[in-house]
Amino acid sequence: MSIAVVGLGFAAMLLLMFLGLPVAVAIVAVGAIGGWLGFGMPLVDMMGGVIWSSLNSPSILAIPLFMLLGELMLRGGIADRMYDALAVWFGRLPGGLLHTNIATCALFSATSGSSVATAATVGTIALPALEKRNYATRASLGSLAAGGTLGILIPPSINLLVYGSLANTSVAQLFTAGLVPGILLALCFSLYILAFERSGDAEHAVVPLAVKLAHLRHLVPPLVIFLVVMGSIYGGLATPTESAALGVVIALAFVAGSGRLDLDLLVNSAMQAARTTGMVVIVLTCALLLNITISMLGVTQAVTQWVGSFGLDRLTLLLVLIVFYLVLGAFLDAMSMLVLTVPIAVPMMATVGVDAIWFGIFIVLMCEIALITPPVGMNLFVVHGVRRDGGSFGDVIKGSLPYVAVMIAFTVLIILVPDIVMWLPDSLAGRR
Amino acid sequence: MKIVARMAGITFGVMMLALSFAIAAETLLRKFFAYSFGGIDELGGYAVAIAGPLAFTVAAVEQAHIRINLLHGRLPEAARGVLNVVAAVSLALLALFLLYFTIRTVQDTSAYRSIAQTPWATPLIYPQAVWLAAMGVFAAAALVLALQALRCLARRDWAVLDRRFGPGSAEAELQAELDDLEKRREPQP
Repeated sequence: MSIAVVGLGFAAMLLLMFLGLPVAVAIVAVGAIGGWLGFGMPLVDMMGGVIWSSLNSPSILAIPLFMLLGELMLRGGIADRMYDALAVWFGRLPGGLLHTNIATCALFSATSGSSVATAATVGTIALPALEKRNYATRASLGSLAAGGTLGILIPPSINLLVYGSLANTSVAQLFTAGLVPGILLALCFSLYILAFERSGDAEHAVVPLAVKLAHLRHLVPPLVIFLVVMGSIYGGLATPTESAALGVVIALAFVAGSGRLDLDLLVNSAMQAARTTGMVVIVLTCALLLNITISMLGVTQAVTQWVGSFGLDRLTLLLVLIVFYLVLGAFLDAMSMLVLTVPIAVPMMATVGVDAIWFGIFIVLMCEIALITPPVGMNLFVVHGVRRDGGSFGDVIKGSLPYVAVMIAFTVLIILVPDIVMWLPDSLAGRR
Repeated sequence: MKIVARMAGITFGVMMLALSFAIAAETLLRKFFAYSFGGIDELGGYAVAIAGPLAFTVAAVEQAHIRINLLHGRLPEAARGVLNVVAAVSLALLALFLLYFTIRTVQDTSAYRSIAQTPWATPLIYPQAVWLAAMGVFAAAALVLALQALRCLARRDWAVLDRRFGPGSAEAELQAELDDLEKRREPQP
């Protein structure tokens, strides 16, 4: 298989996507036609078994369960009250409410799993408070858009689940690997705010400690769920699928305890979870079908040989990949970018000694950047949509760009110090 | 179609909730009482294989299947309309493609009387028959949507093609979230 043919196939897939065809269709069309051209009907016939085995899988089951968990926490109001709780704690820091935005978005999107829901909820609650205290519009919007991206890195993360399925790596280890970089990146955002975003009137009124402590009760349900879900995985007590099931049961108990549990809420949560599961799992299934063609036609070997012919070392190759993903992410949504590139990139990077777990975190960071790079960055649209001041879309873009720079710098940092990612999973696995 | 999606979504939700309770109970019993029902993993696999096509149906009816709105959004109304029809027809073709292979898999299972390589040794025809039915629902829904899109094209009803068959917009999704948020923030009775 020549690299030109691989390029042609990739270009054809992108063209179908840009014409507005469903991404799953574009993937399977190129996969099936490519397979048929290469090996005829026998290869296409193999796809039947793959559809059953890819759907009938415990790792795929984790996706709808985490989706349902997020929906229950969101629709049940568990996530809504985080902002108030965090605002009383962060209000007096320089750039106070912007830190609250980052922290709330990080917690909220990690638990709800949806950028749109995060921006809608946190944005609606935060923007009036930010305006009242004279925070610069761009800084406010940027912190909301960037904060919302943290959820796909901080576990549990649907993107990491999808990566695990595609790269055939341990989801538990990926979730472990995502925690430290996720928290560090949130801290980097806060450091940027401390250093450069000092707009807004400082909160002079001292909030009594008793009030602050009382607000902490709003953080109890999300933290309990997070600790049970992630603690059971980290402690080796449960698989990611089992931890998601435990999370769903506990979330239901909290929602029932708050008196909000009714049929409407359950139906609404089920519909939303089905909707997001459908959009993710169909793309994943089609990508697994494309994988058959990729492996049978030797696409990975062709690309690896071609890239190898440039004689690039690990560092240079990863820097080139950052540029590649920045360009691709400007035009593709994060999930499409993930499923299109992982099957080829993971084996290719293995040849230069890049660990598949580490690469999962790298690629999810690239997906985070894709969420806030124009013209199709999803978070930019949703944060702009929450505004009620009629300002320009350029404000959100300009407000988010510094965070793109922070994320790129952070990516370079994990390239130079891979232990930021690998220390926790290696330690828990007893490898150090 | 909304009713089909609602039924599919509710069935999906019931399956996932029931499974959550079963898996949670199994996990706790196994860890703290060294007792296992056995077979919950297997059951979960069948459940997600069946719930998958139901979820595809909900996403299809609610225009949630991922589409890139880069060039599409910049085209004139008629061109967008034609591409929306092409997208709806292509999704129906994908659903039929998946249904075809599902039928082939079920035929093979039936011919070879395949059983699962698990302690339950489940005859695979039972879960796969339900999987086939779920895939049938997805294919039928996608086909009806494609026919509806073609009918709109025949009538040159560009506005409806945009609204009902365009890529689900971030604005619409956001509005739905904002409405839900407003409802959530209403004081509890």
